[in-house]
Amino acid sequence: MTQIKPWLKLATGALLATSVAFTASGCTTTDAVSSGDGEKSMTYWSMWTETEPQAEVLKTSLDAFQKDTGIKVNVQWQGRKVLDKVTAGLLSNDVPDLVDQAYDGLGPTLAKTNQLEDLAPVLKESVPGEDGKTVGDVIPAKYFDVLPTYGGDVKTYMVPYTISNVSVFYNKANKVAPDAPKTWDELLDNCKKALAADIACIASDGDATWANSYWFDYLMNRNAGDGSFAKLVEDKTGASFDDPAVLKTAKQIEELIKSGYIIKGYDASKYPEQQNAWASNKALYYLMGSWAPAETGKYAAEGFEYGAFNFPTTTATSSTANDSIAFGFAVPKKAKNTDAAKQFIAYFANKDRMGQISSVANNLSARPDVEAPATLKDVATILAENPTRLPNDGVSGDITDKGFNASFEKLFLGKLTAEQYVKEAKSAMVAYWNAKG
Amino acid sequence: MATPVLPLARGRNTARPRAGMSAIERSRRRLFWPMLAPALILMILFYLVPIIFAGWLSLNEWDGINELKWVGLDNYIRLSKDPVFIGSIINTLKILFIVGIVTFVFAFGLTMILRDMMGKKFVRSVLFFPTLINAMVFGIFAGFLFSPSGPVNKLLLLVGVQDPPKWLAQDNLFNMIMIVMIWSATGYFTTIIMSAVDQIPAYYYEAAGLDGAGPWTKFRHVTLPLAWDVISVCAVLWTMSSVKVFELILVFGGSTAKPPPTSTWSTALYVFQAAFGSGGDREFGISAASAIVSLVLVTVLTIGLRRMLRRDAVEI
Amino acid sequence: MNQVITQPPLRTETAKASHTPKTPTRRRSSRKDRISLGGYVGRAVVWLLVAFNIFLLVWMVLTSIRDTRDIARDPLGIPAVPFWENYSTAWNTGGFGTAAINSVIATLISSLLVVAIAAPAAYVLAKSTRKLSSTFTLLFVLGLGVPGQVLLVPVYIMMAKFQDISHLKMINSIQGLILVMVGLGIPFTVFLLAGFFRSLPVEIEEAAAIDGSSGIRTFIQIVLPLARSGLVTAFMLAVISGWNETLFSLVLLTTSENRTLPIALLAFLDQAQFNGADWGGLFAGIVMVVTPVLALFIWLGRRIVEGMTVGISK
Repeated sequence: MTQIKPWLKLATGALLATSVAFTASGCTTTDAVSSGDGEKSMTYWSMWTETEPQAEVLKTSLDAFQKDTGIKVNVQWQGRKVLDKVTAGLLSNDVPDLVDQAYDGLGPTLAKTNQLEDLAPVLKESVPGEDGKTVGDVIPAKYFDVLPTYGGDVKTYMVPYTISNVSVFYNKANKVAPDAPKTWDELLDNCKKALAADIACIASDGDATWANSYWFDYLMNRNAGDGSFAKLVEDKTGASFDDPAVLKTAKQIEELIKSGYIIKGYDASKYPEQQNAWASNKALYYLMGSWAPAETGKYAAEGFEYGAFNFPTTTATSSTANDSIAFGFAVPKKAKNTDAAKQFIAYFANKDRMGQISSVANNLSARPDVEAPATLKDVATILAENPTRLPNDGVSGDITDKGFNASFEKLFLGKLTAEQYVKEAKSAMVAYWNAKG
Repeated sequence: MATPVLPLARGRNTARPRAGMSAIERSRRRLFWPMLAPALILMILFYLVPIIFAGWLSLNEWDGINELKWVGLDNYIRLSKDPVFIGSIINTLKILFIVGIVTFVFAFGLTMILRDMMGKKFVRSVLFFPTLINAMVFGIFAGFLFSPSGPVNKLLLLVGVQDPPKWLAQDNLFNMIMIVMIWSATGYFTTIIMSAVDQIPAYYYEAAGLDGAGPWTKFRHVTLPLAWDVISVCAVLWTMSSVKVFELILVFGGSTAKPPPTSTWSTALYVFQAAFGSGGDREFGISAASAIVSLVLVTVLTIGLRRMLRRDAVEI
Repeated sequence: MNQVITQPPLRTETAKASHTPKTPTRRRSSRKDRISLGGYVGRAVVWLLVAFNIFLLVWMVLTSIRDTRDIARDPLGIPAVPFWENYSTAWNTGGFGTAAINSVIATLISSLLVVAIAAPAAYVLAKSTRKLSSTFTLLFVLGLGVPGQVLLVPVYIMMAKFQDISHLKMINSIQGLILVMVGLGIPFTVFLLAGFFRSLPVEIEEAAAIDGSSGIRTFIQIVLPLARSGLVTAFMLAVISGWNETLFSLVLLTTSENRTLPIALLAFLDQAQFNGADWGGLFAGIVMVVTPVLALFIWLGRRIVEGMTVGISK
């Protein structure tokens, strides 16, 4: 019997341990975060991770807000997938009072199903510390006008605090083609110069179709006008693909590939490999979101001077609209402390506070009167001088992921000619809508 | 990664009735329910109920927020028209058959080589190890090793290959995924097949040798038939695990925070993307329907494979 | 499928015992066979493969102590000076520290629980002669074949609803994940342990019964100690699958304080947008994911291999 004893001990130990663990963990309930009676509070679920500079900025303001108003703020740094958590919360009636993400996250996930408060009244609130100026005065109306509703009833479902955009980035200190091209032909000329100087013209990572399709999206916009991309992919009959502008766009992309303007190996690389190659001066241009400088900072060549220009025009009458991607706050309808959340939105709109997005996090703030960080000076100018549009005209991600991307990928990787592409893309989009029922 | 293993499908009955067992038997009967209940309840809660729930959900349209809407078989009809879903089924079948067959051929080859080799235990352990690691890690490794200016291409350049294959190109991506799978699964199946082959008495080979059989004949007429049961169990195992492939594809093709290209999706990816994808739309109905299809797929394939392999065994 | 249930996975002891006498015979036969040219080529291929696998591990460790910029320049290089900062960055700012603790807690508790719950069930299923028990055994075996994705959405919704009713945190909490891991691990563990229990000699239990020992005491004092190698194997395998669990964790866990290692790794990749990829930190994270399994394998490799292949070998 003595042999058995250690095992008995272990078994009892295990039982004890598990029961302790159960009771200990059993205490974690959803009620744990509820505040004491009478005390005002709000919860904020953030798209940032606690250690990111953007989180630092928000933390500073949240602390100040708590001090100034006495409203206790409960923050959870959820990270980029914050909206997954909100939808899960809706299922179990556990939602934050304030949440943030990009319009293309908030819109399809929450605004589409009317889960977000209308924030139009917040625009009329005055910004604390800026005598009399309202939120609507300091954040340009165009960022609100451009928001797609995705079939929901509310238009102003978010208030942006940081803006990204998509433009062509380049090293201003480069010797090959220091001047930014304004038209497509100028861009192609510069590409020739790049090849002559033995560097690539355009950097791209073949697997980042979401980024490569910006080329098609912008060219289509320049060739056929605002809203043409949405019209193209939302046409259930596919007839829009017969528009000669589509073939023209495809041919322009085909030319980039055939002429070898895109960096060698792009069709076999994994993001951000070629992005880094661009930052080390191996390619002239890089069409990307304005997060590119922050992402490549560590890899940039000595003396690299970040510059950007708006996507070139293809005809004299081309649109010059620039893609903007707004990230901002939203307030779920089911939240308990919506007033406190709205109060914070106005509070954060203050120039000094929102300004830290630029000075600390090196992003562009939603306020044009805040000085842009050095690497994004050009981007700020582009945004200020041009009308705003959305990448892919704001169509839902599902349309591009499952309908548009596959055939575009083949075009961009040189597997299809322009003509073949138009045919294949047309049938792919028809099949997509067919499956949607 | 701990892949469940099915025992051989031939059996002796272990619970032999014996004289004097009634006392034990009685106390066992008394303990039957109390001892079984916790596991059984979990089984019902985490397997039976969810499967029934998934079946019901697949007949509805639901975004997880608004009211459920009964749509009957619409979700299945939509799936049948969705080229991405069809593609994900084809990819799953590719994993099952192409990766499966190549892995088995390799596993047998390795078994034959390892049979008389020095340090075979060590070799077997080293080759087995990838089975235990989260496949995500290999997805990240592959992106590094095979990038255009990465180590593999640099090595190829040293031996004079100027124009290396486009490893990570979109239409190669799935092939690369399959290669990584073959590499990581071979060790596991080699280990299983080796232990089966080890059980074959040596005199069979000696007898075959006396009859003048070469290595191939020995393999064909001794090894294969005697290890056949194990092969058929391995096939079932592989069927089950091939339908589950997820992490590797999620990370392999995917850029940061974006879903991997649809051309590489497996059914598991499809289910995940439909319900929790970054596109924003939450289509729990579609997701449940595709999950049910993959359950039917694995059932049909398992039964079919077992039938097929059993008949073959009889022939020999 | 029906026959599957009646066949016990052969116990490892038998396999081991039958090994010893056979080894000499095999050696004799191998001496007779001349190694052919093909044999040499085969051996070369095998050793290349082994070298490659070992290279991967070494490369992983070396890369984890190199500066990110350095890695980007030459992915194959050797660190001139070890750059240990990667580990502190990964551990603190990368969230791998919390994640590692969460992973350890979730894995250990769920593995203990799953073995504790599965063992009694496996025992009665293995030893009972009731007709009912074969039906239940079949139920557990069928559970083995159910792909995780089938359960994903329903389990997620059920957990959310359960949280709503009970006010116990289930979504985005380690306790919720533990519950799911225990539930999902049941079929395999029951199946594995049933095989071990079946192989135990009946005589000892009979003796105990004659001594007047009650059923539950026989189980705890006699059967469990006898089956300890099986229990340890089942526990190890539960640990490995728990450690690597990704699909459900990805859906259930979101906040950084609740992440497990695989999810932290994914989040680390996601974070590259806006703030740049940190390859050094990423590799440090990978080392944290791989090393515990590697250590376990070096320590108890034979047991793990046998557990995962048991029942296959005759």
